[in-house]
Parts: sequence; C-alpha cells; structure tokens
Amino acid sequence: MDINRRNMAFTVALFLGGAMLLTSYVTDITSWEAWVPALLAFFLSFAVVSIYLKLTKKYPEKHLPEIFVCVFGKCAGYAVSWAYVFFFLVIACFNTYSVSSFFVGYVMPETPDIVFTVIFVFICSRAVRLGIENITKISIFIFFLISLFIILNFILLLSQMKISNFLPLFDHSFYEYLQAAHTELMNPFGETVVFLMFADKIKNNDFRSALIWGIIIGGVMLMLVVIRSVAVLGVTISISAVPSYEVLRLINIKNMITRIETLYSFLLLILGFFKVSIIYCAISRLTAYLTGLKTEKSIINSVGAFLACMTAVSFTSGFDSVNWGTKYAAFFATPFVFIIPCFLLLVITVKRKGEKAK
Amino acid sequence: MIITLAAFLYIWLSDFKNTKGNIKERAVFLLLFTLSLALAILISAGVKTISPIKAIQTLFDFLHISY
Repeated sequence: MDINRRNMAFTVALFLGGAMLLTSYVTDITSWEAWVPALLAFFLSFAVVSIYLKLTKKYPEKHLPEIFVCVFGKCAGYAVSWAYVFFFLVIACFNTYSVSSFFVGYVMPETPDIVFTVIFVFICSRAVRLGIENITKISIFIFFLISLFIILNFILLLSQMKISNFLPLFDHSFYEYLQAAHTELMNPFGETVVFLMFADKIKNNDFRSALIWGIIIGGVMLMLVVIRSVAVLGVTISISAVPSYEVLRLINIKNMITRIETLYSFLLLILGFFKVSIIYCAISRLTAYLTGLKTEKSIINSVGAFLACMTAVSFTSGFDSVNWGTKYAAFFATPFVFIIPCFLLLVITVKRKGEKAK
Repeated sequence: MIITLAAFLYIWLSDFKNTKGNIKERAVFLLLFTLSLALAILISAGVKTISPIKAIQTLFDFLHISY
C-alpha cells in the first residue's frame, strides 16, 4: 500500500478543483443560477461514488481492469478496459486542450497552442514517471496554497458581491437545469472513476474515506468559486469564457493590488497539471496492464506523445471545445461513469447470489 | 518536422532502454512509438482531420444524442 488516506483525499479534491477552468460550461447554460446545478451535481455525485465504493468493497485492493476481468472474463474484460483507455484519453485531451487554450488565450496570446500542449504534456510525463505516489505527496501543500488564494480573493471581492446578483431564483427551464447538472456531474465529479485505477495502491477502508472526503473538500471548493463568480458578475457571468479568472480582474485595492488574475492563472495551471497527470498515469497503468507489461515505465513517453498528438487534432478552436463540453461530453461520459459501473455491480450481485444459492 | 523528429528521438533514447531486452515490452513500446510518430508526422504535414472526438460528435449527431 503506497498511498496514504490523507494524500489521496487531497488529490481527489485537487482533481475536482481542476474543473475551475471549466465552470463556463455550466454558467453558459444556467447563467447566474449556475450554483443550482453545481449543488445538485455535488449531491448526486455521492450516489455515483457509492457505486465505485461498493465495487471496491466487493473486490478489495483490485483496480478497475482487474475487477472487469474477474467479473466479465478475460475477453470481455479486456474489451471493456480498452474502451476505458479511450475514455481516459478523450478526457485527458479535453483537459489538456482547456489548459493550453486558456494560456494561449489569456496569458501568452502569441504562442501557438501546440507548443504549450507539448510542453505541458512533457511536464506531466515527468510527474507520471515519478509515479502516482509522489504526485499525491505534494497534494496537501498545493491544496493549502490554492485554498489560501481562494479565501484571500474571496475577501478582496466581498465589497463587489451583491445578493441581488443571485435573483431571480429558478428562472430557467427544467431542461436547462438538467443539462447543466448532467454536464457538471459527469465532468468533473464523474471523472473520479479514474481513481479506481489506483484502488489497489491504498487500503480499502482508506480508499473509501479518501474518495468521500476528497469529493466533499473539492466540491465545496468548486461551489465557493461558482458562488463567488455569480455574486460578483451576476447575469454577465454567461458571457465570460473563464468566470473564475475574469472575476479576479475586478480586484483593485487603491490601485496597489491589481492584476491578481495573473497569479491565479498559474494556480489554474497547477490544477490542470494535477488533473491531467492523474488521468495520464491511469492511461499508462491501464495500457501496461492490458498489454501484459510489468511496469508502465517503458511506455510513458510514447503515451504522452500520443496524448499530445490527439490533443492537437481534437479541437480546432476554443469554441469547438466549449461545444464539446456543453453538448456532447456528458453523454459520452455517462456510460463510463455510470452505466458500466452500475452494470458491473449488478452482475457481481447476481453472481454472488447465484453462488450462495448453490 | 525537425522538432517532431527530435522529440521522438528523445522518447526513443529515454524509453527504449527501459524495455530491458524483454520482447513483449519492446513490441508494445514499438507499437505505441510508431503510432504516435505516424500521427505526429501527419500533424506536422498539416493533416488535422483525423480527430476521434470529431468522429464521436458526428456519431452523436447522427443518433441525435446531444443537448
């Protein structure tokens, strides 16, 4: 057992925090009421995670493809696991593109996004080479750094927050709430399915509490960021590409403390790095397992090169990625996040009952 | 193109030694390496229409599965 509970919990929290860059997918749909689907998704995420926890309880200290092979047999288990490789690759591409397009759009406009993508994936590959254990070890420090920054700018923005920005309440259609909550539930909360790839590296009871505490901490952090953005921007939140970033542009304390958003962009980079590294680690581990390798060391860079290439061809513009995020991503993720784990749990339960009856 | 090839040379130099002469490890490494290199060369040559995400979007549009 290589990962301790506390490190894992903060890693899950930072993984969820990586979605701060993507809050616009919810604010685009429900505008000033973005906190409603975010809150709904936060509560529903416990139902989704309870499926993962039941799976790890039934097959303690086994990771996701091992459970598939135990339940579905080698052939079908491997086929489903390869589908998960594809799913992880797509979400890694999406997150890598989000980070690089944000940096190219806001911080380094003259730089071609492929340059940023390649450098970003290269740095992630260095972290993956060190292993998930070492990535999780720095999670506490980074979490407190980010929390401190969020609390600090929350205080600095207090004077610009208005309760009236939350009004009118429940002005959107049920369909819009459903779309936003579904999108938020699948990305980022549902993406925690990635952590099932590391369930064998942590004690079963520790994994359960780490995942739940991680989701509570990360969910509260995300909610705070959404509420802060709505409280300051109000209706105009729907025209911001990255509300959590643009809200910080309004901080101006006597013309002395300004342009604080530049600092925040680096925190977003760290969060993106964390999220992509964990997914990248899962892809390498899963590919190594499926191809029968003892370790993933020899394929890490090749997987990284493939990831960078796929990111480069996946989206042609920021609009393209927003279109994917708001319209398709939730539907694409649903089978991997919810339907397959549910089916897996059902098969396990039926099999165990059949064995008991015999 | 030169930068792409240099990057892949680096990957070869750093990862090939990790296969430690194991045939299976070498085969998997070579497969992934070739796949990535082919994709990178295509991108360097200006081909950007081979996106799997675009393929999923087209499929979902065809099935009317989107918001």
